[in-house]
Amino acid sequence: MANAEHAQHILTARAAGLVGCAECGHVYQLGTETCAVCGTRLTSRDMTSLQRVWAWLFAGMVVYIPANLYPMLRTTTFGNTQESTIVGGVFELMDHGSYGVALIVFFASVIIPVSKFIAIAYLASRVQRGKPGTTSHFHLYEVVEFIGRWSMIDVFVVAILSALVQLNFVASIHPGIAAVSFALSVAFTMISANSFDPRLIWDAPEGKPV
Amino acid sequence: MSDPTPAEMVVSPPRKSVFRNLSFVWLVPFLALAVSLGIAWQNFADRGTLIEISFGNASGVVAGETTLRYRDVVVGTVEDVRFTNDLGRVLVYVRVDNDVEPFIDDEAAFWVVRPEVSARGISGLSTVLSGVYIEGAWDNAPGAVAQQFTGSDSPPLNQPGRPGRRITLATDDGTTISYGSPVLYRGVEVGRLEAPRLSADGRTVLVDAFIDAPHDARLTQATRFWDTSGFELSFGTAGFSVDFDSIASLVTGGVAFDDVYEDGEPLPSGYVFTLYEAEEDARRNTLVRGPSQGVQFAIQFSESVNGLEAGDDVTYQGLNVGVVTELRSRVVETQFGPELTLLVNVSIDPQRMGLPAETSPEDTVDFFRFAVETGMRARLATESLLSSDLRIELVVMDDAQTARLTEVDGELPRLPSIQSNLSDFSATAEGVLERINALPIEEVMQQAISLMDAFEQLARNEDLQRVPGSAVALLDDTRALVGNEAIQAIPAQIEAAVNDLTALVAEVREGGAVASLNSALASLDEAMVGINAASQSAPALAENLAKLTEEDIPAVLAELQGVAKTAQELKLDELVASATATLNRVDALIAQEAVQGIPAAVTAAIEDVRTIVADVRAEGAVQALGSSLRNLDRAMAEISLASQDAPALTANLRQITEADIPKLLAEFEAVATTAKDLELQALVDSATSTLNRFDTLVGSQDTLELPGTINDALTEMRLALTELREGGVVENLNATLQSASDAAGSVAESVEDLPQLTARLERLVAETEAVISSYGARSDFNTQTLSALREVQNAAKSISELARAIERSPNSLIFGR
Repeated sequence: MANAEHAQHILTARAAGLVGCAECGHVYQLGTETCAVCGTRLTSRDMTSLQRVWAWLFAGMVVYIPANLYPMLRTTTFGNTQESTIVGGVFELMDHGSYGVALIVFFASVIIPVSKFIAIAYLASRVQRGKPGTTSHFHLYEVVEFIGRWSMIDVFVVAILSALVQLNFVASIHPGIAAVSFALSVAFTMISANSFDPRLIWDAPEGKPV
Repeated sequence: MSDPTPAEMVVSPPRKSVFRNLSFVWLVPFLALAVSLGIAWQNFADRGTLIEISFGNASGVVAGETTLRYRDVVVGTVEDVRFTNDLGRVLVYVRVDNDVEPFIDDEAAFWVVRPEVSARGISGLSTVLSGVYIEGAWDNAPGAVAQQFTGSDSPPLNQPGRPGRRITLATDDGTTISYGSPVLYRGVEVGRLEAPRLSADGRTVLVDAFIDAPHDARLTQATRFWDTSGFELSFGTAGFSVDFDSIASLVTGGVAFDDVYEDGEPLPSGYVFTLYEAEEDARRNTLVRGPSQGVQFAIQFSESVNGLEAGDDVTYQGLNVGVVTELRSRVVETQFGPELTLLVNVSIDPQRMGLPAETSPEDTVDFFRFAVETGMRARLATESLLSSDLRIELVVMDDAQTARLTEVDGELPRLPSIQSNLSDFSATAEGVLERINALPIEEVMQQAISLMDAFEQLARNEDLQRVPGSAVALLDDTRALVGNEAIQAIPAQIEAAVNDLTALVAEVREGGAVASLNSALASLDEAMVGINAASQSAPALAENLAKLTEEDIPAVLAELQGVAKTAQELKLDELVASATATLNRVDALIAQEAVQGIPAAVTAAIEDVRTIVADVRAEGAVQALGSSLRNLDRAMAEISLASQDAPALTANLRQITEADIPKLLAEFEAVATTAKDLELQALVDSATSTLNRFDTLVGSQDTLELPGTINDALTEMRLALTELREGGVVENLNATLQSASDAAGSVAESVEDLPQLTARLERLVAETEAVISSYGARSDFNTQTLSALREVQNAAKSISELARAIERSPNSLIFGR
């Protein structure tokens, strides 16, 4: 298999009998307990990593459900209260002709979180099943980690609007339950992505981790 | 034998427990799941109960937005809006909060609140912006829960839970009754009317009303309702009056009520009130509480009952006690045949007569029987002086003829009546009209007409018509007169006359001064002669003078001071102005032709003078003059002798000069400054114009002819001088000169005594010096003296100018200047 051949060119530190400090990058003999430089505990592989990844991922998916079902914003104009969910808001924006904004909201609030769920689940399951990893998998992981924070755009928008638009009777905006849920969902998926030990990607061809 | 071999041991690693490496992190998703489920469940549990309200139409009701409110507090939200199966009504599904839900029972009422503008005001304004909402009303007690309701389009009058009473009113005419009209009690809105409806038989209009809580307690059988719609105009003895209740009731109609008597019985169920058209009607029907309430009587009248109608009052001593129920005529058989009489049925309320409430009709009739025997009678009376409306009055006449309550079976008991005093009033009115009739109005009219004719004739008179034209002409004449130039010139002439007068006064003043001056000079002349004599006794005089200086000079100086002050007060400025005016006038005078003829005459006079002079020379007057001069010469010699003593005197004088003259000079300087300010320019201008006149004069034809004329004049003068010569004038002159010569001789003699005089004078000067030094440099005397000197300086300046003028035009002397 091309993948296997490609993987053979990679010599991991673990295979070389070395362990690197995750914090400062110093390399020690395998079995060294702590980093002499920064005092970090040295682990060649974090064996609980996958569990944490799955746990946070599930938590993120659970709170993502109310984030989509409950209203994100409660807008009151002239005593007229309107509640809009994320997807409902997107459709409303499209109704008003703001396709650009609708696209941004839809991208940041739906595409990115869902893609993150899928990407993390895909990476974790690969490691779980002992499939060999490639460079592109590592890139996928990096993208997921990088893009995670941008999902907070929606939450920021809600926070800013709620703070600014408080004109009593004329117009006022309050955050809904979905805002909290969504913020939690983003936070959970970010923690999930952080918990993933990317070194496990390369271990896969050597077999199941002990 | 085979060795028992142990069976292959199946060694399997201990099965790893799934939970062995289970991380605590797994708590997180489960916690999140639990919380999410919890929220979801709570939301589901809290969402309330769905109720169904049907409306005729649901304008403005939007699913998910329209709220259900109770006392203006949101208690639910419309979740869905649908139609009934037959599309007949709109079904609105409302999710109601759980805490209110138990109270929404069968009696709950729902209606849609919309903005509404009516005569009673604007309501539901807040819904303009926020959209309509559904208002619910229910009582405070939880009841059987219901799910389906029927809503109304407008607020129900008797909202559930609202205390009050629902009553029914009956009326004949429902035009003025409209839905929501207010029910007023003494002008205060205490309830509302619902929409009027027809009774089952279609004869009566019934309208339900809801009276709010504390006020419903006022409703008794004594309560009367009346319509206050519109306004009421009335014209009566009290004057003109307009009466309407609130504007709202004017537009939408309204109903008012009040108790018409005390202690009304409580309302039985199903009681229907009668709605009267006006308050008067309602109050008048106080008594008619039904056939059983009043006791019926009949009254027979033999006079006209014109103006009486059913419903009119029956009063006793001014108090309403009953009402007229019926009027009818009836044929009565009398001994003179059948006669038509009028019968009036009345219903009298025994309670109003003061009888107890439980009095039976029989007792009431008994009471009236007794009352009639004691003099009670019925009679007609007018409602008021002006109206022809009648009422029936029960009066007690002490001196009435005996009568009885006529009681015939099958008929009403009949009250006896007496003649009213209505006809008296009519008779009086008739008499008044007759008197008016008898008035000689026609004659008066004739007189008035003839008077008007006379006036008309007068007005048509041509002379009279001409008067305005004459008046206009007169006014025009007057205006022309006033506009006349001569009249307008009068002020200028008056001004000129005043100027003349001023000039005249100035001249007079000048003339007087000149005369005084002349006399003063004459006196001086005499004084000089006296001095001449007195100087011979000068030594003694000097002594006296010395004494005088010490004693009297100060006083004299004071006098001088006063004189100086007076002189200072002379208004020289005015004098100069007057002089200027005089010069102007002289100027004018000179311009006259007569004056221009003078030079000729003068020329002739000069000619004569010349001859006289020639004669004088011939007659030896010159010799006499020479002798007098010689005498003078001698006198001068004597003076020069005397002057040998002068040096001392001179020294004294110098002292004086050095000490005081500088100051004097300074003062002079000031005087000069003042003099500079005087209106010299005007004077000079006048002089210049005078000179111009002279110029013209000189340039005139007459002046050119002057030599010839002068010749003639001189010829005449010569003749005159010839006469003079013959008259011995020259001899007189000779004698005069001889006297002068003698006088000069006397002077020469007196001068011989001058040395002594000089010595005396020397002493005198010393004394004077002392006196002068006694006066301060800034003393009043000095000041006055200086001002006097200033005046003198002015005079000198004037004289010098005069001299300059004469120098420039010597011939002014000839013309008397």
